Parts: sequence; C-alpha cells; structure tokens
Amino acid sequence: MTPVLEVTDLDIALPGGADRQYAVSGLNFDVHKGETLCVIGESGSGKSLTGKAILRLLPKPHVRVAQGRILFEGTDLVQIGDESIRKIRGNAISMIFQEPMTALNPVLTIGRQIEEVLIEHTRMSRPERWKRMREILTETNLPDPERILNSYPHQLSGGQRQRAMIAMALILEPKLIIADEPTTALDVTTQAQILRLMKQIQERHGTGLLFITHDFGVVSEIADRVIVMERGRAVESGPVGDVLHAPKHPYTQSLMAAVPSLSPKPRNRTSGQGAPNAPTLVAVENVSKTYPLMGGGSMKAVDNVSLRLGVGETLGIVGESGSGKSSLARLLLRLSEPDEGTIRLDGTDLLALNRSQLRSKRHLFQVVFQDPYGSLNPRWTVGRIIGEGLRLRNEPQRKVLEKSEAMIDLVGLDRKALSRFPHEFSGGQRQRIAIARALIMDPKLLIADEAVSALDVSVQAQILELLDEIKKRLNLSMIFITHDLRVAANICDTIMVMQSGRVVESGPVETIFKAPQQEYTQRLFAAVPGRLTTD
Amino acid sequence: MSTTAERFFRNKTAAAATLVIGLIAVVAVAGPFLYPHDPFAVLAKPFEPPFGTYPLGTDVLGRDVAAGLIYGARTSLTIALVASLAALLAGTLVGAVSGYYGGIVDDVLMRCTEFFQTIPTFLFAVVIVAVLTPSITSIAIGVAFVSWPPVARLVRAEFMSMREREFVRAAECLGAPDRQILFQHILPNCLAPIIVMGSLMVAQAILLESALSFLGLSDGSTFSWGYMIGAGRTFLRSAWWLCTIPGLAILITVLCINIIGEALNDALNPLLKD
Amino acid sequence: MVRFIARRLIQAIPTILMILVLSFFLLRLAPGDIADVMAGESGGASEEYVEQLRQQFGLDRSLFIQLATYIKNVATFELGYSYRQNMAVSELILSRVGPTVILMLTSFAISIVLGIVLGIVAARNVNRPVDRLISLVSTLGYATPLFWVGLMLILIFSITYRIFPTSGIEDIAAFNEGFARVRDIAWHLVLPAVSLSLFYIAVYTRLMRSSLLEQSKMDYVVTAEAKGLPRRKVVYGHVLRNALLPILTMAGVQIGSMLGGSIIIESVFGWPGMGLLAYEALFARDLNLLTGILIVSSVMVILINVVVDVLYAVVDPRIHLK
Repeated sequence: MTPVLEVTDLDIALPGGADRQYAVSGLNFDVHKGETLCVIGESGSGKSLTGKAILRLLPKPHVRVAQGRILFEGTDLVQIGDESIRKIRGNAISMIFQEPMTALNPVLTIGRQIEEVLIEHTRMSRPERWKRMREILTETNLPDPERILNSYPHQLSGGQRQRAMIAMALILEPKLIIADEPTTALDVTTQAQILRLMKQIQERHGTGLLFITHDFGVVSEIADRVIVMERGRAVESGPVGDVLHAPKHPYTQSLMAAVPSLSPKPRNRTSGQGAPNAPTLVAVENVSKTYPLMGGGSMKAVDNVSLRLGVGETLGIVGESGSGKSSLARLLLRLSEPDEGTIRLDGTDLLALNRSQLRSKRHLFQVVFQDPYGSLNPRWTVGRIIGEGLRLRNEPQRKVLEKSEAMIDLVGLDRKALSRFPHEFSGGQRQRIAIARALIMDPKLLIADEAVSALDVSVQAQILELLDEIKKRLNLSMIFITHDLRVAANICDTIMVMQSGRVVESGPVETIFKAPQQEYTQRLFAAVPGRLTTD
Repeated sequence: MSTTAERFFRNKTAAAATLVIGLIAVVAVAGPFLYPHDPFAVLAKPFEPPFGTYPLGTDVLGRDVAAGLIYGARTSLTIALVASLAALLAGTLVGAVSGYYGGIVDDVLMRCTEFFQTIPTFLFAVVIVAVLTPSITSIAIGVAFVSWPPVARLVRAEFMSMREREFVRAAECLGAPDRQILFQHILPNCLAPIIVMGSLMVAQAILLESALSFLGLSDGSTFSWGYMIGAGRTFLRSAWWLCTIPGLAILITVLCINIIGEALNDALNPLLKD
Repeated sequence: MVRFIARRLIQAIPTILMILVLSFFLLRLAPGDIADVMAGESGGASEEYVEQLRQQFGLDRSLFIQLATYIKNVATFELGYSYRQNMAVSELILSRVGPTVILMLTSFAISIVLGIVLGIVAARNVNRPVDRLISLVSTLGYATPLFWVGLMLILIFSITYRIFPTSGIEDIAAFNEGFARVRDIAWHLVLPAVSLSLFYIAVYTRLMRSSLLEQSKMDYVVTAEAKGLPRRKVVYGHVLRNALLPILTMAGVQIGSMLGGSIIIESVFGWPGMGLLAYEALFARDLNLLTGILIVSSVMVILINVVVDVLYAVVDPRIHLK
C-alpha cells in the first residue's frame, strides 16, 4: 500500500546567523491512510517547521526547503506551483495549530471562518454549506452548532475553539491532517477529550494524521508510530510500543527517563524533614479573594481556602487554569490583599504588617516564577540580580559578593555567570539564576509558581532534582504550584487540589494519588495522558 | 550583537540627518559670532532678492533674512527643547505612577489625560499663549501643556505591561521599595520608546511653535521662523523668498529630527526589525 | 446600541463640565476680571454693560459661586457679547460652524482614504521602490508645517498659474445659486482641503503600513493560508479588517488635532469658519470669543469621539455594546 505522504531527505535551511545551518536535515518518514504518526521532540528540534514545510507555510523568505521531496499521493509538493499547493491546502491536507485563540481571526465569526474553506474549494450553495457546517460541528461534539457558528472566537472556551479548528480542518474530509501541538495550550481534562475526539474522527474517516508534540504522554495516547527528533535529525523511529517501552537511542532513553512518574516517590516521612509532626511554618485560614470582571460582575478567584505547611514540608497546589492556584500564590506572596482570612508565617500575622514592616519580612518567603525569560531583568547582570536582595538589606558589598558566589555554586552554574547578562543563558540556566536569587535571602519558605512548566522535559528533570536536593540540604519548606500532576508526584509531600477557587481535596501525596476521593480529582487523574503506558 | 550606536550610524540617512541637525545646532549656538548681523537692523533697501549682496535677501524693512534665520533657529530650537523636556518629564511621571499603581490613581490620572487630549491641541495652545500674553516662556508653557498627554499614555502602557512581568514581581518579593522598582527595574526597560517619542516630540514642538508665531503669537523681541513666514505672507506675490526660505528651514529641521527618531527606534529595538 | 450611545453621551457630561471649569480658570488668568475680558478689551463696551456682567457672573461673590455661575451661563449657551463683531458670541460661533465642518469632513475623507490606500500599497510592496517612495513622501508630509504648505500652494496654483482662487469660500460678486454655487465652493475648497490633508495622509499612511505588517505576522494569517485562501483574500478578508482598528482609534485622536489645524488653514485661506473667527479674535484680543470657540470645538471633538466609539464597537466584536 502506498503511503499518503512520503517525505524523503528533507533539509530545511535556516537564515544566516541562526544557531545552525539546517533546522531539519536528512529527514525521512511516511504517513499511511488511517494512521497516526507522532513527531516528538523538544523545543528547537525542528518538528514544527517540518509540519509547516509540507504545506509550504514556512516563514518566508528566510526559512526554506533546501532539498528533499515531499510526495503527497505521488505529487511532489516542493515542486508544484503556488496555485496547485493552494488547492491542496485546507482541502486534501489541512492543519490544526497549537493556540486556537490566536489561530482564529478575532473579528470574524467561527461560521464565516469555516465557510471560507467551502467557498474556496467547493461549488456548494449557501444552504448546503451551512448544512455541512452544522453536521461537522455536531460531529466534533460541539453543543448548539447554530450558536457556535454565529460566535466570535473570544466568546468560546479554549476547548470549544480547538473543536471548531478541528471541524474546519475536517470539513472537506482531507486525506491528511497535520496537527501541531493541538492540545498543548489546553487543560489536561480538555486535552483528554480533544485527543479522544481526534482519534475517533481519524478512525471513522480513515484520515492520515501527522501529530507533532513534545509530550510522551500524548504520544502514548494517540500514536501508531513515532519519530523522535533531536536538533533537526530523526534519531529513532518505529511503532509506538517499541519506542516507548524499549527505546534504543540514548537520546530517547534520556527523554523517557526525564518524564516524571505519576506514582509518588517513596518518602521517608517518619523522621527528619517532612515528618507529619513537624512544627507549623505556614498557616492560612479561610482566605478569599474576589476580582471584579470586565464589563461588570465579579469572580471569586480564591474561595475560603485554608492550608497548613510544616517545617521542611513540600505542599503541592494543583489545579487547571482558573482553579485559583495562581491567585492563591499571589496572596501568599502578599502581592495582592485577600478580602478576608489570615496568613501566618512562623507565627507572624503577615496581613497585620504595614508596608515597611512587610518589606523587612519579605526575605522569609521567596519565589521562583514560571517564565525563565521574563523573570530576570534583561538590563541587569546576573551578579546584580542575585545580589539585589542582600543589597536592599544593606549588607556590605564583600558579603554580597561572597554569598552570590556561594549561591551560584549551589545552583550549579559557573562563577563567571555573575558578570554576564540574562540573555546569554538558556531557559534552564535562567531558572537556576532565579532560584539563586531566592535562596540568597535564606528564606524559610520557597514558593515555586509553575517553576518548571515552561521548560523542556529534560531540563525540567534537572531543575526538579536541584530543588529536591536544596530542599533537603537547607531543610526548606516549599509550596509548589503546578498544573502538572506528574511534577507534583515527583516533588511533593502533601497535595491540595483546587477547582474554581475552592479546595477540592487535600492530603498526603500517596493517599491522593492512590485513592482520590472526590469525583473531580478522579477525573483529573484519569485525564493525565499516558497514565497507563508509562507507569 | 552590535551596539546601539553602531546600528544607528549604519543607517546612512540617519547619519546624514544627525550631521544636518548638528550643523543647525552649531548655527543656533554660535551663529551670532559666525554671522555678525543684527536681524532687527535695517541694512539695505527692502525686497533685495536672495543670492545678491545678502545671501538670502532682505525683507519689507530691508532687514537681512539670513540673520533672521540664524536667530530664529535659536528661538525655535530653545522653545522646542525646553517644552519637549518638560512635557516628557511630566508625561513620564504621570504615566509611570498611573501604570504602576493602577486602581483609582490610574483612573483619575487617565481621565485627566484623556480630558486634555480631547481639547483640540493647537487651539488650546493658542488660548494659553493668548491668555498669558505671548513671550518665549508662555509659548514654551503652551507647547508643553498640550504635548504631555501622549507621553503619559505611552509610558502608562509600558509600565502596565512591565509591572506584570515576573522580574518586577520578583523584585517586589525581595522587598524592593517602589522607588527602586519604578526607576531601577521598570524605567530602564521602557527607555527606548520614551527616547524615540521624545525625539519625535521635539519635531512636533518645532511645528507647533512655528504655527503659533505664524499667527502672531510670538515674542516681539526675538526672531522666529514662524514669525518670519507670518510677516512675509502679505508679500507672497512680490517677494516669494520671505515665506519660502524660513519654511524650508522648518521642514529640513523637522524632517531630520523625525529621521533620527525613527532610526533610533530601529537601533534600540534590533529584534523588531526584519 | 441606543443604550450604548446614551451611556457614552452621559459619560461625556463630566468631560464637558471640566472643559468649562478649565476655560473659567483660563479666563481668570488673563489680566482684569471676567467681566472685563468678556466685554472685550477693545473698549467698545459701555460701563453699564460691564457692571451688568459683573452682577450676572457674581463677581462680588466667592470663587466657587463665580465658577458655578459661569458654568450655568455657558451651559445655557450664554457666552456673552462680542463688541468687536457686534454679535452675541454664541450666534457668532454657530454662524461659522458650517464652513469648518465642510473643510474638516473633506480633509478627513481625503486623508483617511488616501492614507489607507497608500498604506496598503506600501505594505504589499514592502522594501520595494514603491514602498520607499511612499515612505519618503509621507516622511516629508509629516515634517511640513501646514500653513507653509498652504502658502506654497497659493504661490504655485493661485499666483503663478492662477488655477485656484487665493482665498474665501465663494465668489461673492458672482451671486451663484444652486449647483453653480456648490461648484464654486468646491473650487474654493480644493487648496485648503489639500493643505490640511497632507499631514494626516502621512499619519494614516504610516500607521496603515505598520499595522498591516504587524497583523500579517499573526497566527491567524497562517491559518487562513493553510485553508487554501489566495493571497488576495488573506490580505483583504483577514488582515485588513484587523489592521483598520488602529486607524479608527487614531482617527478619534487626530480629529481634535485636525480641528486645531483648521485654524491655521482657515486663516491662510480666509476660509470663514471657526478657525478664521479664532484668528480674528486673536487679533482683537477678544479672549472671551476665543474661549467660546475652544469650548464649542472641544464639545464637537467629544461628540465625534462618541461616534468613533460606536463604530469601534461595531467593527470589533470583542468590545461589547452594553
């Protein structure tokens, strides 16, 4: 049987001045009818450009296909004219993108945007078009198709928008769908639904699916075959079972090893740190925070939340977007004021402090944020960034320098880093700098707000290891806020699950992970991709 | 990565514009020594055409147009620089406070800014100068008064997006006082657009000042380009150079400053350019 | 929709009040008391009239009462009497609104249409000679003083080639009526409208170009291309609509500036609108008339901005018409 798509010896050239000459080189793969091929790789592996190259959507004029063939049903897409490729786009091959909010035009209705595909490629009349659109929306399980068609993108939820994108890609029953990280921007429960939908639809229509992702969990859910890419080259490929269970290439093996397991690490909780009878460090009682919404109304972002954290313990706060976990983090950091409730740190009532008293206590609780690119002042040297806190406390310059060097050693960077600027470092290195900036203050509590979410999985593993080690060495208490249950299992002693501002369930990590009591927690766990295969 | 100055001067047009502005500035500062004619002195018979005894001809009273142009450069540039600087400072302060603190402070300050933006700029300046009686000071005040709102809005938008950046939040968590956050963390990161806006403002201020003095709102004791055009307009039919030459001076100055501003924008944001 | 407009109009009331407060204090800044200023410094007013004004404005009472009285008077369109012009200020201004509106609307239409078209041409040929040429012209337009353009156009087209009239709104001696009159006014309108538009053509061209280039980097453009739409439909069906939004915002901001520009243009071309009136007031040092013009034109700007807001809400579905 001939494949739908056959890519041979593909080279994609980058413009001069990039970190390498080819984004992709010597790539070979094929996709058969009714088959899902997953291309997996970390950022910079060239996986996204590969997807774009097929429909000739590479960013012009800098990035281009330098060599190779992309055969679609026997036609070489690299060679054909602009008009011919246009007739294939959206018709025989369609695409789904990562971020449905930006991938849809904000000022046009969903209906208008889907209808364009039909107007361009068919001779259907208007009633026929709308009939077909209603059918396809129903097939993607969108409730009330009529309303969706007349809505603008901002009026839909993230999951609904992505379903609409899928409907748009599917409406002409293409032979091949290219999906570029289609679930990365979605919450885990929505992701599970979308993956199921794509699988169903593909089976029903016998479409070939080229699925680009960075997530092994997603791969195990949807792939038939896998290609692993590293810096533009395919390092391993084969049926999904073989690659996931017996990876041959060292890179694949290291990637697989870096994926945190969903079963909690065994912890020695009877002695030393994290023991259940540890003295209380943080006590939060009944805090609430309501934000006014644009255009009237208000939203209870944090609703009557209480928590306790013992010295040396790590508490994981997990939840999907809108669960209130980040708002809670802002309250704990005193970056915003709760409407009611109390927050005590080491016996001090933080809410009773005035501005200058609060400033003098801030060193006790420090933070590491999510975005490694946004969390360091781009105009300051690393030395100035790390030493800022101590200088604010009027420590002598010599001591600031000594401690900065000690911190740089602790987080595993070279001392030369102190005189360099943030843009000279990779994402993982920047996150280490942010950790050093926090730890130099000798905090009792470290709050990590999605601190590893923006990192590639291999870097993520290193940072998690670093945090774990530091925590043990300094007997540090941590609050770890994350949407990723695997990360939570890896590092936390206790877990608190949040939904719509409320605490759904909390308890020791083993208990929650083994036998979640609440229906929402169960659903959350069931939605984690690759739950069964990778553990 | 090349430095800002290197990137700026690689742009040949910008380098040339800088040279021209440099020359105009030198003329404004040292002109009276280089070309020792009093612009008010009646030297020759009226309406001498240019390129004769007097390089740019004489006006209705027989005064030297070239001397007027040199003294005019002084007036126009001084007013434009002082007014722009004042507007830039006021606008930055209002925008910074508004954008960083948000809430009611922001509401009040932005209502004010929007209010000043709804009043027709030029008419407002005319009324201010007319009420205060025209002088170099009142013209500078008038120009500054109508120029700050766009700065405030720009700076506010920059500060608003910056204050949500994680490095600013991190500084707050370290216990940094507001002063340090505003001026050490945020301001240096928004300096590029402020500098660019500042240079474009000087250009607009020159246009505004010339329009005011064209309407007769000028200091009687000094020459300015707009005033020369206003005085020469009655003789447009007989002595074309009286209007044309000072106008060209304004055009060239403003053009060069605009070119410099745009080149600065490109040089300060190397990543934004394709 | 109606409620939206009504709400925006109600929101405009405090702004209008603030303008009255501002003009009250501006008048106080001037030498002499308000009655002196309102009567005009020309000395044409009788002593009784000045006294009557003092009574009417409560000048013997506290500052607050003076302010309240001033606002009440102005709000009822009691703007005083211009002795220079021998007419009530309110009537005087109203009689001049028409020509200004004609000039403004024409220039606005010219600048926005040409600006959008030139911006599209430049953006679609980015970095090619056409784009460079348009950039050059708009940079020039951006740097040229309005009044000087007007004078140069007069020098070229009226004095040297005698194509267009030098000044005025119509040929009074011709006693034109009906269509002939419209044609005559249009003929007089050409030079002032062109002079006033030039700067704004440059503003809109540059904005349109950069806005189009920015929008064409957005993700939805790739989506549209991936659907198989031809380039033309991607640009005009998707990019353009988004790129027009900043133009609309800019139009709202620039309308006040354009009204200011019309003062100069009207005084250059003797176009008998509010601008020329302001120029005459300036010469007569009739500060009261000048402030009256400031108030009326500010209110015009506020009303135009309400229209712009409504348009914006129609074009951008993300803004709710609530």
